[in-house]
Amino acid sequence: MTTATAYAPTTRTQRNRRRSGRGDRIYHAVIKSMVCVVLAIFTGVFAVVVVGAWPAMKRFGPGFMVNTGWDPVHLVFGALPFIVGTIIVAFGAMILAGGVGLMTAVCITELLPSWLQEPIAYLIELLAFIPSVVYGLFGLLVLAPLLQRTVEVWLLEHLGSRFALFNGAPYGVGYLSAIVILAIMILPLIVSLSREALILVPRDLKEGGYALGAGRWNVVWGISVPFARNGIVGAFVLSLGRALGETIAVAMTIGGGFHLPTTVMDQGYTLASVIANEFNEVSSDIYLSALIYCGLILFVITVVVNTFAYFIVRRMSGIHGFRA
Amino acid sequence: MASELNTAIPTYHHRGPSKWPGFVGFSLTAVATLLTLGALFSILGYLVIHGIGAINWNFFFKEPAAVGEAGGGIAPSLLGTAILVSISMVIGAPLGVGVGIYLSEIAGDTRFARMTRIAINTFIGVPSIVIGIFVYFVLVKPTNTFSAVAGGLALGIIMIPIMARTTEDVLRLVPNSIREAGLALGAPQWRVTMDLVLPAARAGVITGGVLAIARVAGETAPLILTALGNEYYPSSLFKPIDEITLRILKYARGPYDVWHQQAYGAALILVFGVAIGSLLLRLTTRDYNAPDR
Repeated sequence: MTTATAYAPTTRTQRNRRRSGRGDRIYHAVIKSMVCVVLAIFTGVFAVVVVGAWPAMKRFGPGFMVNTGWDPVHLVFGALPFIVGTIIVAFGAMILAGGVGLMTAVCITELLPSWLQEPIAYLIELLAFIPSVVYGLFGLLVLAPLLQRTVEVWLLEHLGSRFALFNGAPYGVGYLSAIVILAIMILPLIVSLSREALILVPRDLKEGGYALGAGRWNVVWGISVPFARNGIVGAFVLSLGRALGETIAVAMTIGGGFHLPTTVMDQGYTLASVIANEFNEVSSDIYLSALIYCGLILFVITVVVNTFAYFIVRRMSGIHGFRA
Repeated sequence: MASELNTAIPTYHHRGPSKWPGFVGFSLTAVATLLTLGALFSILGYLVIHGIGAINWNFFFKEPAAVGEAGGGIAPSLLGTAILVSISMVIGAPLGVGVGIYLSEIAGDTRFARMTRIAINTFIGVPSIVIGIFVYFVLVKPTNTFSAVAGGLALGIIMIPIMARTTEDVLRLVPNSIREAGLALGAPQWRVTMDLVLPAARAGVITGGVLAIARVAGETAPLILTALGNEYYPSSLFKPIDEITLRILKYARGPYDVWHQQAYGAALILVFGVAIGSLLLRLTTRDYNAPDR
């Protein structure tokens, strides 16, 4: 673990000696100015998005976030349908992928023989490397028609009359397709991060469990998972951040629409996908600004979620060297 | 630790472990794994089955055919991708590596270092379309045209935190004894970093670059706002430029079967390239971990 600690001068004499070299002064100046440039860019991104959203913020105020109605002709904009859409799609995907992902991680670390663990884990990581436009392609051309023919028809016939949630026209593209494709996209992230957390469970602890007579299953859910819970929660929150911000795959599969969804087959937009799909359609400055306002809301949401994940994960990294 | 054990183990010892929940439970985890792998293989399978027919000599070296007609290729998109990725490397690689060096070699635990670390970690998660908005206002709107430079800048900014993190990670894998040996010989810190630490971590830094390229080459959302895409070979860095993911997006949404097939073909090429990148990363990081752990 010694190699993983940062190399940093610790004593005053060391620091003074280092400061005396002119080369090092230049070196530090160069590196630090690069860091400052990067931080300036990051701050600039936020500032520019705020400035771009400003006309819409002035005109619609915070009510933008709770209003419905999206009318580029009469210039009335409210982002509630997209905020609701973002939350539904992201959490829907988390519900589908969370359980499957955690179970897969458990299967890889606890059930599979050790020679098979790495290859399977690599295959699943490969899913994470597939670009999102390819998921979008698959969702649009394969998954959506498939869902339209099978799942959506079934839902409509068997549950549609009883639950309004399933009583929609089976278009194929829509919330359901977006949720499923997004679930597939975040699966590898959940699996690999949960796996990393599970691997770090000390052997002694598990062997203690076996020695006390617990079965493998009980050791997994009684010892390994509780011990790795910070890492697993971190994995889930990071995946949620990914899901909230996913743009192109959702834009290609959610269909598009400016009203609040009433059924799972409805078509709509998330905050990210409305920008991607409507950006080249903007007809007025205030329309553009309203889209940027959506981007700002998305930006703030993802920064909050990711910072939250960072601190959860860091709480673990102090003791166990976990890095997400 | 002790409290964790107490809560973790209920009273199995007098009953003996029950085999049933374990069998059912592990079967469920196996099913979950098969589902995950099934998703992977069905995506790859569809790409290969539908895309392989599109891939031929013309596909790599021809311009797109007239709308809806068979034949033609995606050469402008491939060239555009190469150009955009090159621009993004020029912007993203030095800054990313610089920040990585700072975090690993200089930062320590100062307030500024902590802030930088949080900023990097936060920015990895910022949706790329937000970066696209930034570049749109900084470069596209003032110059009044979508351009390759704007697209490259957006990809470069996306690349920075990725490069910074992988660089920091691989530099930290270099044993401290190497740094100490250099410093003991009287070398200043910059020589130690440049001549000892970076060369020792060279393969890792390069692979980090490959990974970052793989990431940005698959980006679409920011390019809609910056590079826009077009049908021709790139003629100028200050004009709209095509990129492979923009082409996939256009063809996937189009109504023609020929387009769909070419979208699958382009996606197959893209996934293949990205998979090779990830494999490289896997192999080099394994080299690192072996002697270290």
